[in-house]
Amino acid sequence: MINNLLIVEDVAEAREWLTGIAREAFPQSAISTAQTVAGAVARVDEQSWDMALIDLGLPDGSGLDVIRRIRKQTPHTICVVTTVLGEDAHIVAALSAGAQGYLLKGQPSTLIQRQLVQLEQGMPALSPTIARRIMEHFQRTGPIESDTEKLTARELEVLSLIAKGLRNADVAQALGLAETTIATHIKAIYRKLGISTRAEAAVHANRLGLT
Amino acid sequence: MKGGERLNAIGSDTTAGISVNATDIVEEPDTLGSYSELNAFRRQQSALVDIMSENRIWLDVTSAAEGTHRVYVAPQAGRPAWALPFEFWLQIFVGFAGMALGGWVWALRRREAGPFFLAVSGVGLMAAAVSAAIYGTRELALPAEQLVTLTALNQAGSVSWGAAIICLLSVYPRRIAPNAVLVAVWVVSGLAPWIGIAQIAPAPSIGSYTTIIVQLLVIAGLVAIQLSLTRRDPVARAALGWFGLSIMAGSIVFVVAIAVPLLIGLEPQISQAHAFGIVLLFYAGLALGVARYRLFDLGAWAFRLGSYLVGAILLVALDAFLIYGVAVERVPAFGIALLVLGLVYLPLRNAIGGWFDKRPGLTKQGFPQLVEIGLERVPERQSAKWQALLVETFDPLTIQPTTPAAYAALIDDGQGLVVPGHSTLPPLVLQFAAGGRRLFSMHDVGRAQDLVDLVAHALNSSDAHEQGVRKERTRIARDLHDNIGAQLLRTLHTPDVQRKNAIVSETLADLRDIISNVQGDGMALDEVLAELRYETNERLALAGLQLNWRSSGSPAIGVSARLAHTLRSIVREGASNAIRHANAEQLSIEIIETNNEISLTISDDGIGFADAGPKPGHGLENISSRVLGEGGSLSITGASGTRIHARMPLLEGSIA
Repeated sequence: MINNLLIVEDVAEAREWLTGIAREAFPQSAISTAQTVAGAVARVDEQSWDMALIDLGLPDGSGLDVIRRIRKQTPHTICVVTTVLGEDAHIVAALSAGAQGYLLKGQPSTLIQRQLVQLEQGMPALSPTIARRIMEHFQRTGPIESDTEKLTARELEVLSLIAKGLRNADVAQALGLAETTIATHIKAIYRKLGISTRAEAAVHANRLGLT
Repeated sequence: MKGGERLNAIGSDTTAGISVNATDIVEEPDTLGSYSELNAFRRQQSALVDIMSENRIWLDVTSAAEGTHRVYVAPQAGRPAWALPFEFWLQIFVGFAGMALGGWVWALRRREAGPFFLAVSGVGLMAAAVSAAIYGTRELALPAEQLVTLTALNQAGSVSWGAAIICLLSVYPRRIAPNAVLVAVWVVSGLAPWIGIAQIAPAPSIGSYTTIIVQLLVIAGLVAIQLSLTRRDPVARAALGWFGLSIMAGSIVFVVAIAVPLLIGLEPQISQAHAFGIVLLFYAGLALGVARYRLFDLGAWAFRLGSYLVGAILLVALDAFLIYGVAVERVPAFGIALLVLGLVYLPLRNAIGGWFDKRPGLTKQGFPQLVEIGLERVPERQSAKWQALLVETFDPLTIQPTTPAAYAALIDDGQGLVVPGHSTLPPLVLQFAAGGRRLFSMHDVGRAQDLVDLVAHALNSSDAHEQGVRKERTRIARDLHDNIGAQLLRTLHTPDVQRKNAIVSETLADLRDIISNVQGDGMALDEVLAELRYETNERLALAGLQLNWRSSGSPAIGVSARLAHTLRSIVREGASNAIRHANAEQLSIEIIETNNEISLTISDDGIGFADAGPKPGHGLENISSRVLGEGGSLSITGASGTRIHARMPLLEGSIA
């Protein structure tokens, strides 16, 4: 149940458009907006949010900082990244930082509305391109110390089917699993992506003698 | 006999005893004050030899502990090698080394007079040193005839050495004396030993040392003349430098330490044997001359050749020593000899070689400099940086532009080094390496060529990079024009708001393609199709339609942003049509990639349309012209549901 929702977006038209979509998706929720990282952080510190839609390119910094702040303050908040072009690297970075999903602002309103509802229901969206990038990420990362950071065979299977363009429901059917199980796998993948990215960053920092 | 004991007299039971004195063990008999002393010395030597040839002799010895007493000994005819003193081996070594070095240079330069005289001087040195080694380190006495022969040989060797060096300096580096003079030098020098034999000089020392001193003076004069003659020829002068200097140094030590004291009636300052060690100085200078200045036009290769020869000689010598000296079996002896050579000689040879033949590689600073030259876009600055690198590497006195050359090369016998140019870098000639302290060598040529190759590579890479950037810019500009420009134009002129939105949304997807395709090597077809399938599925699901998707083809195929756009446009148009107009329940999409061709079929189970009626979606007109532009074909039928079929070539040409 989404009672309050924060929209962080610097372009006024897009902000209004997103607000309209959110209002339709969650009619009973209170919607607030912020235009900058500073404004968003102030809102996050002020109260806890059930969901936050965050644009990555903000005038005074990156939306990633807002996501990290929310992760720290209120881990239960569903963070969703909104982007115009959906560059792979940005989305993977956002997922690593703790976002549960992402929306492409160029897509039709109805589609975005549906995705929002699905996210609220705990069904994270994952497009083929991003699935592909995540697979590449784990292949590239190489051996990590602990097994908890590696993808299981099943998770890899889910990823590769999504990368071929199958929706969660199609993947569930293809693997003979419930759709909720697929959602669980995807969430696990996101979590591991975050862990492995942080581990990678730590390794880099070590190499550079930063920590 | 023990240390501190003193031998007074020597005799045997059958001959009379002879009292022994210091003169009997004099190293060089020619140093004796007069010929009568010399002849007395020789008689005494003969007498001593007679006594020592007996089976049993007695020695009168005085020691602090026992006073004077007589001991009997049985003299041995031979003398074991290890009992021979260091001075013996030093002189033998000097003799052989001198001859070997002379022979080495001559063998490599057999047609020239200079090396020939050097070889002759080596033979002279050998004769002088080996004969001196024998009589100079005798235990007590040698037979008089042997003594006369050896001292004469020693003298002949010394004057031959001097005469040969005089001849050498008369013809090298510049010829300053005709052959007649050279012959005269030999005739005069040849008389010297006879003075000693005939005993016509005031004293033996004057007889033998005057010649040598005169020769050394002549040599000094010749060195001075040659140096002055070659003052305008740095190559010859550099070659002469070390060589002449070492001759002078050796000569001065010899004259001051031995000859002058003897001539004025004093004891020599150093033993004759050690004086021969000084001669090694001369050969060290010779080796340096060859290494640094290509003396006699030899270079590092001459050392390599020489070192192999020395290695072979050492192997044979060591093998022989092990078999005959230590009595090791032949096979293990050879193995040991090889092992010792491998473990000791070869590393030593490399270390010495490395010292003589220093060749610094490209330094750590050199590499960034090369990269900087490659990245520098202003030709003048590029050229300045290149010259700075050359100056740092070779430290030449001058550096000037020259005529184009294909490869690095030496000019004027190593005074100059030609460095070829590359594109904006002019060909250069460097003069006088290391601030004029050395000549350019073949190593410098190699290094210069390496530098040129590297800088050429850096420049080419940088050009290639520039070209790549330009090509990339062209591609992005074309994609922007073809896709984004055309779409925006359509948006501008579409009255329908919904349609406007759809086109803008499509345009954003195209923009994404152009950005993610920054590498310019196209997008993976399977990735494009997966994204398309996902997107279509989402849209159809929203409208309650079922998607039946089939695609096949190799995953490695890349497509251009243009083709990706066309594919996406067709699929979107087909899906939109199915959602809006067809009243369909299911949409089938089949994409097959074969033989560099892509075939796309979209069909629904809807109402279709009459061939005469309006075709679905205005967008398809644009799509049709695009497909034709790609060199493909598009057909639409509406007999049983709408069916769109397109074929497009996947040629590289469509990507580039």
